[in-house]
Amino acid sequence: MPLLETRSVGVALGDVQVLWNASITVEPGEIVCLLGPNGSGKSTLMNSVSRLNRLVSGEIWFDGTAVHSLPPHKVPQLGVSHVLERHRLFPFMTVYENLLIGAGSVTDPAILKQRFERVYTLFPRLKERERQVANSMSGGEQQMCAIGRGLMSDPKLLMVDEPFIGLSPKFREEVTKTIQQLNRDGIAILMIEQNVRQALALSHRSYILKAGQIALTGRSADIAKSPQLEEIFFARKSGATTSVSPASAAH
Amino acid sequence: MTAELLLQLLVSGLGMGFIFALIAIGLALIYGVMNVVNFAHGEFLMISMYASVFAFTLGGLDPVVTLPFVAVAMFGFGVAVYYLLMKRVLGGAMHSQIFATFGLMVFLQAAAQFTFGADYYSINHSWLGGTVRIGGVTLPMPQIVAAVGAILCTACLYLLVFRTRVGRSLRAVSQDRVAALTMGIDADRMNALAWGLAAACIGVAGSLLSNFYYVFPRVGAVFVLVAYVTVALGGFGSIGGALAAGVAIGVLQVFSGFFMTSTLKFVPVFALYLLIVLFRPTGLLGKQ
Repeated sequence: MPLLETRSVGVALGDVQVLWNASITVEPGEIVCLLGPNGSGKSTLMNSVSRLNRLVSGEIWFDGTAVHSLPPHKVPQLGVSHVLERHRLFPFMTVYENLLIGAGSVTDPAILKQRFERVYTLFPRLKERERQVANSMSGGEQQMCAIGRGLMSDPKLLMVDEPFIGLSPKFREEVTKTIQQLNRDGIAILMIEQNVRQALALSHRSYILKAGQIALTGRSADIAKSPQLEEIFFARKSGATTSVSPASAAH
Repeated sequence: MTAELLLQLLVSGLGMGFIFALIAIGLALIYGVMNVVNFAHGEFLMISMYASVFAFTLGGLDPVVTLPFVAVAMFGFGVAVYYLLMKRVLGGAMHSQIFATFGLMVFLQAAAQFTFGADYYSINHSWLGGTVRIGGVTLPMPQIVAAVGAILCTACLYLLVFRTRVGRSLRAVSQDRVAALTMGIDADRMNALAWGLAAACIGVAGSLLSNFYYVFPRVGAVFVLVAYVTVALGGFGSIGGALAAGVAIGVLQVFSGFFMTSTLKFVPVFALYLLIVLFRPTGLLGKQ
């Protein structure tokens, strides 16, 4: 049984439908990537799992629970953690407070200590900045803090929306390693990434969205070789001569 | 002009300032959590004052005694206003939220006028009679109690918001509602809590005021206009800013009332407000 399954999900933002018939699965232990041009519905699909938008059709199941009938604040309790696009830390709180809120309903000091230690082991820099106010840190540090905050609830599935955006190459590498490490620790990952080549290299499977629908899916290694890939990102026949790679075009 | 007189003015200004601050903090709390300006805030004050005055005239109970009950009842009233009215217009356009609280203001004022008439009511021979002399400063007892009560209430609210778990959740919702939802925080309950706490603060302020201020259906307008200026001056949504600005305004209006004429005492307050927002549109402690 998949850990996460969306079945024919349709989403409307306001009165406008922006996602149709999206069915994806994430198996335990997988890294799955959502790819696609800007405005193709990647974040909309991920947000629908956190119940942040309005479903017009379809079902969402996580670990045997019907997510589609839950209010948004009940979703994290199932073991889903969502690191929103552009980190979305609580800007006027300290790193410590941000992480503490990430732990959700956990109040047992022993468990909290364990969770903090895990995050501080992954990101020693956060330990140093524990008392610093979130918006006074660099973009990379804030992204680390956001991922750390997402781990504080000890999730089964970590959903990360564009973790590399605005990061320096050094931080990119660090975040990539962290995601792989978390995956080895048994956490399933669903991520959104603009850099197609990097995302396909990192993930096991991928879904490529275009104009609110899933256009292509399969093993990431296969997709990387697929001629359809360029077609989706360039909206022209594959094989057309161009010096721009899909990776850089996606920016 | 003696130093004693200046001190006298300063102390009574501070006392009034803490009441202004308490009223403004409620407004800042609701704005911070929900981005909604409660135009019926003054009418919440009016209700609290009527409750205190009638508890005294009908039941013989001093506002000092009824204060906790008024505060708790107002908490319930604030929560009810959220669930019965505000929650329904939350997803709507900005102007529907403005009209909702504005409509509530008109309704509550008219309801008070209909029920109690336009007469002024006040508490005579309160338990807190007389004056107190402290180091050359003479102050009426009700105002001392009001100032101390307002400081205590503000301190409690501060501890709740900045030192407790539920306060952290409240701040999380005010700083990033969507992120708070993904952390498992029930934003809807936090909205209700903000309305409840704001109304409870007003309940305390109304009880304390009723000992030395008369109540009539439009009494809210007197205080709430100052409260809006306080919140805007302190920085929208900032509790600390509302406190600082409230105290500053309290002192300023007492001094200007003394040196100019009492009918013009708020002129320098509004002038100061215009001057400050001209250079700092987000207020003194507002987030840029």
